[in-house]
Amino acid sequence: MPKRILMTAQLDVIHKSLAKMTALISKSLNNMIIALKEQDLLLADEVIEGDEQIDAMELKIEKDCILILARHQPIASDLRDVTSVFRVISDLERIGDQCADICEYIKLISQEEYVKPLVDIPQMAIECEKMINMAIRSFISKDLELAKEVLMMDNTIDDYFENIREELIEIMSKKPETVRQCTYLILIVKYLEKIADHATNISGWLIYNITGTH
Amino acid sequence: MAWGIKLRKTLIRSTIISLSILVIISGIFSYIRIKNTLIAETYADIEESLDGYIYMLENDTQSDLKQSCIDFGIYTGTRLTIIDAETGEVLGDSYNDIEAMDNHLYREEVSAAIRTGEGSSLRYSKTEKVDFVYYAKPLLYNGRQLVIRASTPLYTVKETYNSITSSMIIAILLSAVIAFFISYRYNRKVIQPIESITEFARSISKGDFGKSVYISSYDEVTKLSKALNKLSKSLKKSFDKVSTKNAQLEAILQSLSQGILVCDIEGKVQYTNDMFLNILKTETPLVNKNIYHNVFDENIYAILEELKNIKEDKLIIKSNVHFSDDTFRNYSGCFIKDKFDVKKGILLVVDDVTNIQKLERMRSVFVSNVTHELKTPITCISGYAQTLLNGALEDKENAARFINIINDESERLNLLIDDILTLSGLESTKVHVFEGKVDLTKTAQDVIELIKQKYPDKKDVNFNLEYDKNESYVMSGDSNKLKQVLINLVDNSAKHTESGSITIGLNKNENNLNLSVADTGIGIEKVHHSRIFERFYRVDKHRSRETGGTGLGLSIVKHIVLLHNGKISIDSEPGKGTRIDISFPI
Repeated sequence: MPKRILMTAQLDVIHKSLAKMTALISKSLNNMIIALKEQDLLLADEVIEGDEQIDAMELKIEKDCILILARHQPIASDLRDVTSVFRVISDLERIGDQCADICEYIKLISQEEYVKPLVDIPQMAIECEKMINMAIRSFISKDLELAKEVLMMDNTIDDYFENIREELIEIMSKKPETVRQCTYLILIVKYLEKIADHATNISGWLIYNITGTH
Repeated sequence: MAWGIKLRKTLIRSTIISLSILVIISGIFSYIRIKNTLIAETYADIEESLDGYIYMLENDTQSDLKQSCIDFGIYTGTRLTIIDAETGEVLGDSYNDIEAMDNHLYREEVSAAIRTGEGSSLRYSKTEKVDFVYYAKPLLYNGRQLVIRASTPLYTVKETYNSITSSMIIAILLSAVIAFFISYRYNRKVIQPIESITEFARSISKGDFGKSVYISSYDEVTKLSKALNKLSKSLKKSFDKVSTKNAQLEAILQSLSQGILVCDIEGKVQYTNDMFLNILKTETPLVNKNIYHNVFDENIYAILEELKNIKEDKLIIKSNVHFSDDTFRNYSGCFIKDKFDVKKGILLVVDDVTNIQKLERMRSVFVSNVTHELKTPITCISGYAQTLLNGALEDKENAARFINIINDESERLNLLIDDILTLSGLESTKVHVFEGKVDLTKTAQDVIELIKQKYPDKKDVNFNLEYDKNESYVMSGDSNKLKQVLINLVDNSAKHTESGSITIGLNKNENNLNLSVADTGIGIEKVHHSRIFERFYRVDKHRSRETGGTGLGLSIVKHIVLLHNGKISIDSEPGKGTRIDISFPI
């Protein structure tokens, strides 16, 4: 079936683009974490500008997917593959946006000393980064076990979120002058939590891709 | 082997066929020859009998034709027939009853005899089921035109035919036996050697070099086996060479501190060393997988993309890439080309430069810290000195205060320079075995006295020394330096403890002598623990300068402990106190 071989090759190209998009997001997350830790304005700006590249990547992959649908009319698992790529890139794009948003907040508090040394927030962000990597790896290599691991990791992120939120609320109630910064930090943590949710979604798409059920 | 059997079968078959054809052809030829000779002889025989009978009839015209025919026929053993040349009626026959015989006028030999005076033919007799030769001659007998015919069955020819056929069958059977024999010999001499050579060649292709095959057969086969043995040996030699080289290369690549990856332009990984996986923090081996599917690293992708788009040789470098876990990496990539300048793949090298980067940072931080730390007292001194010069000298009360401050600050400056010198002295000293013996119990007691004198106002702090009185805590070391360790630690504790206790603990086990200084002071947050021993690192920047620290105390402690081959660790919690543990090997 030469037609299907051609389509498989094109799906491969899409997977490659997906990897590139993930790498870009990984880089954004990475720079975002450093910017947060070191209060680096320039790096935060870099992340915000880098979001355009991610958006362009999303459009490119979307176009490729539509071309496959139009040219090859894939069926069954191939169809699920293409449609789940659609969903995954929109999740990835959202992650990119959230990274940029976090960087906006980092910029807002970059000139002041943190209320406490940041340990848990960067750690949580690193975990998020790991989750996204694992989710995409599981998606591309169709590794169901890895996808389930990602779903499990979401609980850890939720724990992080709760702990950090409570801690920040406590700091706020003790030192009212830190309310502004703490609020921003809580927003950042909330964004991180959303990023982890998107990673979970991606793994969900893989499970749909393989099993056909949600 | 299949083809061996096939070859043998073909051999047998063709031998049998060719031998059989030979036998059949020679059989046919000899049969025809013998048959012709026999027929010619028979003709001569019956002609003789016929001539004899005709002669007898010519001389004796009175005898009964019918009877004489029978008599003469029996006498010569030849069948004689007398036929009326005009009517074709049979007048006498030596063999058959004439009444039963039909008209013989149109028999080939009879009509030929009437026309030409002589006739002969060879016919198959249906009644006798055998070939008959006939010979006929005309005779004028008592005015009657007769034809006398002699004939004899060719039994001898048939017998010859049968015997030749049977001997031919025997010959064919014999040829089969010969064919088997030849094929057996051929098998032993040619096929079996070829088969074992084939097996040998197959084992070589499977990578089992260095074996030999010994064949004694025809020259050609022996030559082939010798050539193959030579091939096998030289293959083994070069393979050994290659595998040794490979092992060397693998060892070199694995021992490198850089991560190495070899992949094709599409990202399919051909080789990685363990360091590569280590640096990239991937557990799964990447060989034979696609890098795009397993590692999401923008830097690697960027290098691959860039290499894809350029024609010329170029090393693409991305240096000092900062990662969120505070590591730094250098990436570089280039093409791998063979000697014909054909691109064979891509070589990626990843180097973890975190330590270099850290040192670089520490150095610049150190320089800026030193400048800052030196600058502060100097600014202070010069400020007060200028104030004094500008007239404050007259104001006795303030002048004394200012001069005191100048004195304090220059004292601090002195301390700072001393510490820096101590530290750089320690850094340039190598670990060695100390000759002198130090009694830590005594040193600890001295230090406690010293600190108590230094802080006379710390009445609420209990200084304790805990140790087992039956043990001796003597170690080899530099007594001044070890004393410095204790002074710095206890002094730090005293500075940060308003009330409570400071305890120096000594204990000993088989391998180590342990020294600890614990206080119940303000404690240190966990984030600082890893950096507390760095030079000029201050937990609380404002507070510690007030208490007169240089920021080098713990760094000096760490260096002295390392100089004594010891280990140092910190355990602290804000509000609960700090405990420093040092252990020296005995």
